[in-house]
Order: sequence, then C-alpha cells, then structure tokens
Amino acid sequence: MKRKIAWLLLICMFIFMFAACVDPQTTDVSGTEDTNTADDMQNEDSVGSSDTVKFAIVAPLSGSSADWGNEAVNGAKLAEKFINDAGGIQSLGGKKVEMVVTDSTSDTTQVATIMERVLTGDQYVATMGLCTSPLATAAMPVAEKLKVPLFMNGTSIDFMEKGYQYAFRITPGSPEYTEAQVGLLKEFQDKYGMSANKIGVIYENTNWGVSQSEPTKTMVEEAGFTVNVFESYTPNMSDASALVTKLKNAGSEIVFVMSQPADLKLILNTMETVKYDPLVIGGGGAFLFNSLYEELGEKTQGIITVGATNWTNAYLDANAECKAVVDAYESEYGHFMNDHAVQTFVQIMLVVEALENTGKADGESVRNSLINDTFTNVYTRMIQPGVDIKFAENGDLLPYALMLQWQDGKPYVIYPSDASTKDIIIPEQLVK
Amino acid sequence: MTQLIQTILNGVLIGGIYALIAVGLTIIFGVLKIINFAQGEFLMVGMYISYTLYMLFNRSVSSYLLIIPVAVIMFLFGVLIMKLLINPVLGKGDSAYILLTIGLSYLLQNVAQGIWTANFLSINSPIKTSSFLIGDFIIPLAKFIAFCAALALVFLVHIFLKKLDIGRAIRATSESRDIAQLLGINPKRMFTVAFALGVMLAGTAGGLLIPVYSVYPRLGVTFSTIVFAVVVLGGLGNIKGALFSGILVGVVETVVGTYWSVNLAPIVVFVLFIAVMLFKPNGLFSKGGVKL
Repeated sequence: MKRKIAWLLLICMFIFMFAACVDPQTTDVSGTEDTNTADDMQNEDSVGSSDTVKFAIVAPLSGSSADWGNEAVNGAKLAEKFINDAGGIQSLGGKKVEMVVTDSTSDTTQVATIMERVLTGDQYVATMGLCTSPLATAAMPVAEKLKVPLFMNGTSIDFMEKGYQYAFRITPGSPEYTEAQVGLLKEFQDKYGMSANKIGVIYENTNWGVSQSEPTKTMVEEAGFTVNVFESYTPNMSDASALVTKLKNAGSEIVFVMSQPADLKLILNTMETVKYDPLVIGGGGAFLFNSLYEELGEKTQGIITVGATNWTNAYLDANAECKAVVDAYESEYGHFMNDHAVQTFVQIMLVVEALENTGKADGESVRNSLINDTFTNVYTRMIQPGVDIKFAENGDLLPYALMLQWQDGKPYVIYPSDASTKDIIIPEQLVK
Repeated sequence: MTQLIQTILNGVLIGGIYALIAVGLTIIFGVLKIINFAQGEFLMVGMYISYTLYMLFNRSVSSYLLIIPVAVIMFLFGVLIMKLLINPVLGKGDSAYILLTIGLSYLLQNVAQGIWTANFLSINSPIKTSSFLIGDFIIPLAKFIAFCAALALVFLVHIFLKKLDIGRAIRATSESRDIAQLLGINPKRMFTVAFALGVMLAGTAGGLLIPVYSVYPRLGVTFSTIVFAVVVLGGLGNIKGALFSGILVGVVETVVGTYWSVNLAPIVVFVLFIAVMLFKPNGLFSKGGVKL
C-alpha cells in the first residue's frame, strides 16, 4: 500500500513538474510567443456589478476554434473600453458596460449547457462571440428561450432561416462570399488576361464547409469556370497528401479552400512539399488570422481570401473614429484587428445604439430596436460602405463580402475596388 | 503510371507512420495480452514532451535531437503506469484491462488539456515542407525520416527480442509465464519492460511526428482508430506484421483518397479490415498464436 502511495505521489510530482515547465500563456500554435491576452480576461463565473450593463461574451477560447474566439473577446474588450471612456450609456444615466467572458469551448455538445448557465446567471442585453455556425446553431435555442439577442459570425444561410426572433448577423452569407470570390476571378480574367479555368474546391465536411462549398460550386460554374475537383474531408485529418495529389493530378489551377487552422497548415505545407503551386483562394476561416503569418511567414505574401470585414478598407480608413479603433487594437494586442474582432466590436456598438434608442437594458427591448430601427453610428463604416444599417425581419444584414490579399504580413482589401486600399500583387500563377 | 507510383509512395510513407505507432501497441499485446486503448494518448504525450523540450531550449535544438530524452522520459513514464495501474489488474480479465486503459486515455487527454490547453501547438521547422526527388518522384523529407525510423525501430526491436537475453526472457514470458518463472525469469519485471518499451515507442513516434503535425489533447483519437486496424490486420503481437499492414493501410487509404474520395478512404480500409477478420481472424501475417 505504501509503495502504491509512493508511486502515486511520484506520478503527481511528474505531472506538476511538467505543468511548472509549461506556461500556457507563452505557448501558441506556431511555437512563438503568444501575445493574446484573452486568456487573462476569461471570467467564467463572474456576474459583475449591478451598476453595469452586461454583455455575455461566450466564445470558444479553447480547442479548434480558439483563434476565432480569442479575437472576438479582444474586440469585445476594446468596445468596452471605448464605450466606457465615452461616458457609458447616456440613456441609462451613464451606466458603464461590462463584458462577461466565458469559454464556450469548441465542442458543440457543450456550448448549449454553457450558454444556459451563463444567461440564467445574470441579466444580459445581448450575447456574441460564437464565431462558427455549428456553435451558434447549438446555442441559439437557449438564447431564443431566454430572449437574449445572439449575434453569430458564421456564414450558414440555414441558421438565419430557422425563424429565430433573437438571431442576428452583420456579416455576409455563403452566397455573398462566393460572389466576391467569383467577382475577383472575373476581374483577373478581364484585367490581367488570366486563362486559368480549372478550379478545385476542397472543404471540411462541417456545417460551415458544406454551406459555403455548395453555392461556391454553383456560382463558379455559372461564371464559366470548370470545377474539376469538389472534395470534402473530415477535419483534423492525419494526412493531406491524397487531397493535394488529387488536385495536382486533376490539374486544378485555382483551389478554393474552406478549412480551419490545423488542416489549412497541413494542406498548404503539403502543397509546398509536393511542389504544387495553384492559385489558392481562401474561404475565410483560418486565412484571416495572424497565426497564419506566424506559421508561414513570408509565404503568406500574395495569399488571397474572402473575408467579411477587415482591419482596413477604404471606408474605414476615411473615418478617423473607425481608424482610431483599429489603431488602438493593434497597440493593445500587437497584431492587426482581425475579422472576428471587428465584427464583435461593431455588434456591441449596434447594441449600444439600440440601448440608447430604447433606454431599457433588457434583451427583448434591444431585440425590438435592432429589428425596427435604422442604425447610424459611425462604427457601421467598419462593415458597410457609408450606408446606414437596417436589419431584415430575420435579423440578417448581408453586406457584401471583401476579397483580401496578404501583403507584408497583413491582409488588405483588393476587391471590390471601391473598398480596396492596396493594389493587387498579381499572383505568379497568372503570369506563367 | 507516374502519378500512381507517386500516390503509392505517399501511401507507403504515411503507412510507415502508422507502423511506427502500431509497433508499440503490438508489443504490449504480444507480451501482456493487453489491448492498450491509451496508445494514441501515449503518442500525444510524446509529442507534447517534444514540444515542451523544444520550447525549453528556446527553439535552438532540433526536435530530432530531442528524441533520445523523449524516449527516456516515456520509458520511465511507462514504468510508472505499469507499476501503479497495470500491475493491480494483471490476471483479472480482459474487461479490467479494457476499462482501465480507456479510463487512462481520458485521464491523459484531460491532464494534457489542463497543462497545455486545448489549443493546437506546433513547431516551425524547415523540414516540414522539404522534399527531395528520386527520379520523377517527390519524397517529403519529414515523412521519409519517420518511415526510416519505423524500419529502424522494427529492426532494433527484432534484434532486442531475438539476440539479447532480456529480449529472450520477454519472449519466454509471453509464451508461458509459468515456465518462464520456473526458469528463474521474473514475469512482472518482463511485463514492465515490455509495457515501458511499448510506451517508449509511442512517445518516440511523437517526437518524429511533431515537425509534421500540430499536437492537441485529442490527437491520439485521430490515429488510434487506424492504428488498431493496422495492429489487428498484422496479427496481434506480430511486429513485422504491424509494419507491413501499416504500409498496406497507408497505401489503400492514399490510393482510394486520391483516385476515388478522401471521405471514402477510411471506409474502404475498414471494409478491408472486416473482410480480413472474416477470412483470416488472426491477421494477414500471423499463422496463429503470438509471434514476437
């Protein structure tokens, strides 16, 4: 018995020794220093003070969607600072706002339980942070039941057609994404004489991947291109060589990729290993994160992807207040303000405007204002080019999507031209 | 034809990786008659230890040079697990082993998540995207290294079991514990060495794979399913069988994925698995019984 206890203590010592050697704050996907401070902000059981207007920031801070979630939390915390520094909610007597952050995990089987625990623990005017369609889909019934507006960042069309009263989205859907991707390819044909016509579409077989890939295939073919590979894969794959070899064997000159970070890196690294160099058009997702640059470095130069928003676009840059937001973000977190951070920031600003409209800090009043009112606050320029925001009856906004290109370590808008801020680096594949 | 050969080469290389993980599992079964459901998690732990040592040395030491300390750490870890968890259930029946190792796999996943978080961690290595040519065929360097390591480890384990006294003692114990004991061999000690060897091999595989894959707490699950198929196809306890069946599975998976569908590849592998079980239940390369 004594020997068993001794062995048990030895194992515990072994485990704790390793825990002491490893600081989760300094480990990240690429083995470089982690500048993300979202982990510091997680406050799973805090309900804050009653003098504040609370937002439930339920975001995946662990697992495969952690990149998304951490950026959303950063955007939320920046919004908190901006709002409170400006004096809080005027119609509520200058009440400050408070972002109560909870890790939803990346597991769709847990998110509903977590959301229920959060929303029943206190009164929240809105919830945001669920950055993928599957997570939002799992949590939405809870938000609907508890009458808390939920903002989701995913592209699934189905989600917004389910008849939820409390679902909101300020980003494009899958068809808008594809419209932008095809529009850019047509521009390459018209302006630069691109002759490439064979397109491969590879996507993870999740709600996001499937919902985006189907309209992609349809619209790409309608635009006159040939989809010669249309292949799904199970996320977290052990080997990408079959997928990449299939694309290479088929002669796909352009490849549309819808992938999460770990699989994307495997796919891109495998392409490089087998000397296969198609024009890769990202479907958002892992293409939008600073971690891509940390992993690939200079190899990101020229990579093209679709995105919902961006830290820079012509309309945002023309507005000093919007510019101040992205500058403050980069100053605080050490990297550009990612798509999900921008979305979360703007979502919060819209809710704040709704609170100013209604003078009431409850989910139902906020929801009614979001549906009935037109929103004119300056931060709408970060997602829409100079127009006021009016949600559709189903809570959807459907702005147009942007095409971004990585240049010098950051993504810049290259299409549509009225939103672009940089000239396109002509892909090498177009000048062969 | 060139494309087909390239595809087969890709399959051979990934098959080598499967074999690398499978060898440890088959040794544990061959000697202890335990199907270790935590073998994927030992691979995961090996990758985390490699990553941690790499970061402790400030990324200045190649992860391949860290394989030796990783192997030593994993061997000692295997000894600890054996002494504390496996020994108490030895001789208590298959269900005890199954439940214990399944529980151990969940424990290791959650401990890893607690220490390293659930995020995906990887190291930056130029080897990750390096390759060389043999004629018209592209050979990815990292996978080639892992494949060669698999061959070397199988050879070394074979020498260990055939030529060294302790290896012969392990084989004797696997064939008959009672007779081995009569010959003065300590069965418990042989079981410990064999189990620790199996864990060490899984951890070593982790050290060879960290330049290729990101590690996360549930990584073991990704490989476990296919590796079990490899071990059973090769014949439980058959080390050479694990190597050949690993390569076979890798080739089938890659050829089906390339010429048919990536999603269908695992289905075809398991249809093959079921077919083999129906006609050769002891495995493709086994004549029946345990052969180390």
